[in-house]
Amino acid sequence: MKLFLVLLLGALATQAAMLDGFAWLWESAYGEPRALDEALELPLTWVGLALGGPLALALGAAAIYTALRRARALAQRAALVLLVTPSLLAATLTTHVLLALAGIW
Amino acid sequence: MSAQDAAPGCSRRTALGVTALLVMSFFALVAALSDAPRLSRPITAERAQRAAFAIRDRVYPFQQWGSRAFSLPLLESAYGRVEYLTLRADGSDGAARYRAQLGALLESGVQVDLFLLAHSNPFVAWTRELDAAQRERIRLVYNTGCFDLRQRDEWLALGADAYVGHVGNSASSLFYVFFLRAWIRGDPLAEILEDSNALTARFLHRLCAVLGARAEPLVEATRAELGGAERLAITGVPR
Repeated sequence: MKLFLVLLLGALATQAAMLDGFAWLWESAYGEPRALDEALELPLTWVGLALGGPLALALGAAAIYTALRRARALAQRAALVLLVTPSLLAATLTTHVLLALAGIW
Repeated sequence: MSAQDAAPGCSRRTALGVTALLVMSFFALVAALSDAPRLSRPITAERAQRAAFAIRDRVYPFQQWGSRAFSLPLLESAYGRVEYLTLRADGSDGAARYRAQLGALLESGVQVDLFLLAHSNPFVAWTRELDAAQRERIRLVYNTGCFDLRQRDEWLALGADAYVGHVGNSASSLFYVFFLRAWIRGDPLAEILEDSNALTARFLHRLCAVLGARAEPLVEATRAELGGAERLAITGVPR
């Protein structure tokens, strides 16, 4: 279960980093005066979306896989999967945004 | 059975299958809540012949960042040249910067589409001061401003080929998310409006159902209407 926890915390940490990073980004870019080079604004946004989207999604999916493989009882597996669900849903939404910006969705 | 398959839970195949199914069902849920993935990609053919100018008014930093992060990559994927202007707290030079950036695009001889991402706004007055021959190269004007459908005749008289604006106190930013993604894929304007209005209405109905609010007034106020060339697409008007 240690691996499950590491993966789940990893998914949550990347999403927290994305949100925190975005808050810093918009304050730096659009506070007065601008404290961030305009050329860095979009690349950093892409990095944030990649962290909170596909990376968090991969970590969340790996956590679910680990829970299904390692937990003995069905109820235990279901509870662990439920624990990952909010993070996985948020990661899916973020991936959707990333794909939309890339002109794919 | 391999050593790896000796885990106490599901078999590797079942675990993989269930995980994949969960991830796919989440994507299906997101598609149902927003819109389905689009099969076509942004139009790149002859993009050197067209330019886009987007302007964001003075709003919260979050909104300014979000508008640019959404608009710029999509516009750059389908236009040869893109100018983006965010008005700053000290708006004294806003009109001058607007005219300089838009004027430079129009002077380059290409068709220019305008995306006015601003609350009820004065850009039509700022544009009036540009040279009439230059203004003729303004093609589409999309305006998110509340009640700014009332500017339709003015923009068309100034030389725009088509104008899209919202009826009332609208949730136009939601409409814009659907509209821009369809526009850069080359669909004709009338068709885009119909689809984007329908997607926006569907989303607002669901949101209001969750919030326990009445959706109809907001849906009606958010509805976008079109003036001018209904068959206009990003590639021009089909013959």
